[in-house]
Amino acid sequence: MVTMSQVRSWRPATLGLVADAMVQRRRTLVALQDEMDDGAPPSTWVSESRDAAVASHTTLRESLADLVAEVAQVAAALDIAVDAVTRAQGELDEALGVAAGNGFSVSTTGRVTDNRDTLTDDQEVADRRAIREEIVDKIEQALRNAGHADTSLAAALRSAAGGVDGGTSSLAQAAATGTAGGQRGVLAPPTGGTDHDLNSWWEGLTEDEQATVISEHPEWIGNTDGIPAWARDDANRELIDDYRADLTGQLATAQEAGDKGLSETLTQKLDGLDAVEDTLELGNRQLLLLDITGEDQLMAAIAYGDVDTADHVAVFTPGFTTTVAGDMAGYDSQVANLVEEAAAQSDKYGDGGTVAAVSWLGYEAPQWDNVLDPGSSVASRAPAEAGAGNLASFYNGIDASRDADPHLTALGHSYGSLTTGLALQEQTGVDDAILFGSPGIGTSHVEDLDVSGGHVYRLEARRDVVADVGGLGQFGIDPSYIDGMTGLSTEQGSIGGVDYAESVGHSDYLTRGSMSQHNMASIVAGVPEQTVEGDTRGFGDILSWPLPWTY
Amino acid sequence: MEQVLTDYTAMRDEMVAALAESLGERAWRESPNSPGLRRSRVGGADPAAEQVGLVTWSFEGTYAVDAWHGAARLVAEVGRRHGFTDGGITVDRPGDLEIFGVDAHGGRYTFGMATNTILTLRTGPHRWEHPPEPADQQRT
Repeated sequence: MVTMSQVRSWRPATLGLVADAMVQRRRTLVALQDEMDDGAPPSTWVSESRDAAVASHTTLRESLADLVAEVAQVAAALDIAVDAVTRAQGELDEALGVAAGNGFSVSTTGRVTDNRDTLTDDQEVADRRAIREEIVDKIEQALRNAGHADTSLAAALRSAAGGVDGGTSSLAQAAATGTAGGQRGVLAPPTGGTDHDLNSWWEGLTEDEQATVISEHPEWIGNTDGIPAWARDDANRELIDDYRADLTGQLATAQEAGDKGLSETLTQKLDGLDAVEDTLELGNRQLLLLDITGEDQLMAAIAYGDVDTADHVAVFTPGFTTTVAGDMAGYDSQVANLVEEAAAQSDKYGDGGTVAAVSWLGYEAPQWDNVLDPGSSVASRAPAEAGAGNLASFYNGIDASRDADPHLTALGHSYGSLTTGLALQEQTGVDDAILFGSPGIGTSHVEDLDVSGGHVYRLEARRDVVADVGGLGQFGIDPSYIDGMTGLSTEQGSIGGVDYAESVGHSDYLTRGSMSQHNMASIVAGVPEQTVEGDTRGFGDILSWPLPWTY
Repeated sequence: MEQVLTDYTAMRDEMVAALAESLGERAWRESPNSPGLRRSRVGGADPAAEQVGLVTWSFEGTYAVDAWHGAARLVAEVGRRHGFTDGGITVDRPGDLEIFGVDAHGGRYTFGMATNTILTLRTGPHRWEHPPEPADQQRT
């Protein structure tokens, strides 16, 4: 394993000069083709000595071809090594930059030390630990990438020194053979790596290697947090046809076996793939998750806008009865409208920061037909808990995949607000959280969420009966009564002439032109001063009034 | 949809020209928030129908405050000539003005000024004659 000081001492620029010189040698040698051909004994030469001349010329030609192949192999291997080492050094510099910017020091052996004095605040301790882990992960992967560059170059040089067969065709073909031999195998992603590990691994690949991973191993990255959105999108689109073929095969088997339940599940998953493709064809979308392995449901996440570059990114998690087949199109449309509204507010009131948002159907939301199943019922925390880990990782992956973190807003509706609330109890980079139509967010105390004070919002519409079932215990108390959450209005409103419609019921929050959509767009766009505060309380809220002695 | 986009683009150009003629040129630019045509499905009776958001134009700053209402009127007059005969004032308060217009086909424009000035356009539900490939979507 190479060390940090070794890698930092390498001079890829010098290696590059050697590579350039080898390329020049290769060209010079290949240009000898005509001379070589002209030097062949003419066919008109008839004598005993001609055979010897021909043999001698053939030996010379083949030796030259072998030399061309060896030089080409070394040139190609050096070129790749220059790129790979430069990237690895870049990753190391980035890690050191993060360290220096956050009060950590890194020894020559790669040991990371927090320079801050003793910390007592639990939140600060957790935050510092997370930053340290990010630095350690980046250094680890940079060294792994550098090590791979080193061993690959050494192998190519040893192979060239041992002789390369340039074949019996032309010198240009020999050069091509050698160049191919100088390519290195793509380094596989680190097993069990964190999102920072995986991002550093990805950034350490050359562009050609990234393209190879997308075309030959898309399953390595399509659903992998820490990988940039553009690459996940490309990889997942590569996989759609394979997944369709897989599910179609399984469906045929299930139908043959007369398994009606499984057949329905597989049919719905195939319908989900259709819904995904229909949505993608609208353009300006990124397919950030596609997973056919769920027991009951297809899982998918589609972004509207560019998650890699947007200044403001929102992630919307829906709830009960949601399926990709039945709901992706509708949620995509609502999310698109939200982005448009947020973008207009950003342009008009703010600094014009760009906006993107994700419809995240990345967990198996509870359905009507498993309402009595304690492991997957809407009355149980289990589905939300199962999804929360993935959702937290998704949030973190957005930050890890970018050089500059976006302003990140988490949106959770209905049972999805429980999933979101549970995810936010883990350490994530979420800056604002909006929980609406919520039966409970998994806790009765906003301090349990890893979101800065004053940045957790709730919305409840008039006659939203789902939002009034809170207080059943296991989801936490009704969010209407959680101290520290800011209520945003869902009512028909006027702000010096503003005319926004009221939201009524459980499914009206993202309706265009509504007060609730306006408020959510303002938070997403980073202009919270444009929101209208308010809390809608109805008869149902009397019945969910918390009993303070119970929590 | 193709004809609607052509018509709306012409209307937008006329709005900007009318503002320039009366209030002076401004450095309108395409907002980075609107990369090309932004398509979404409408659902409902016609699943193939789409709504499209045209490129949002904006410029830093605003017209002179005492010209705000006049600017909005210019935009609304042009809009009315192009079939946007309904609409209203979304907000009118110190430091914040926004109007909108709608046509019979569900198309909607907004024109607003606060920190910056924006002009957004979105179609109602229409079908494409030749739906664009995502990579081919042109900025309009």
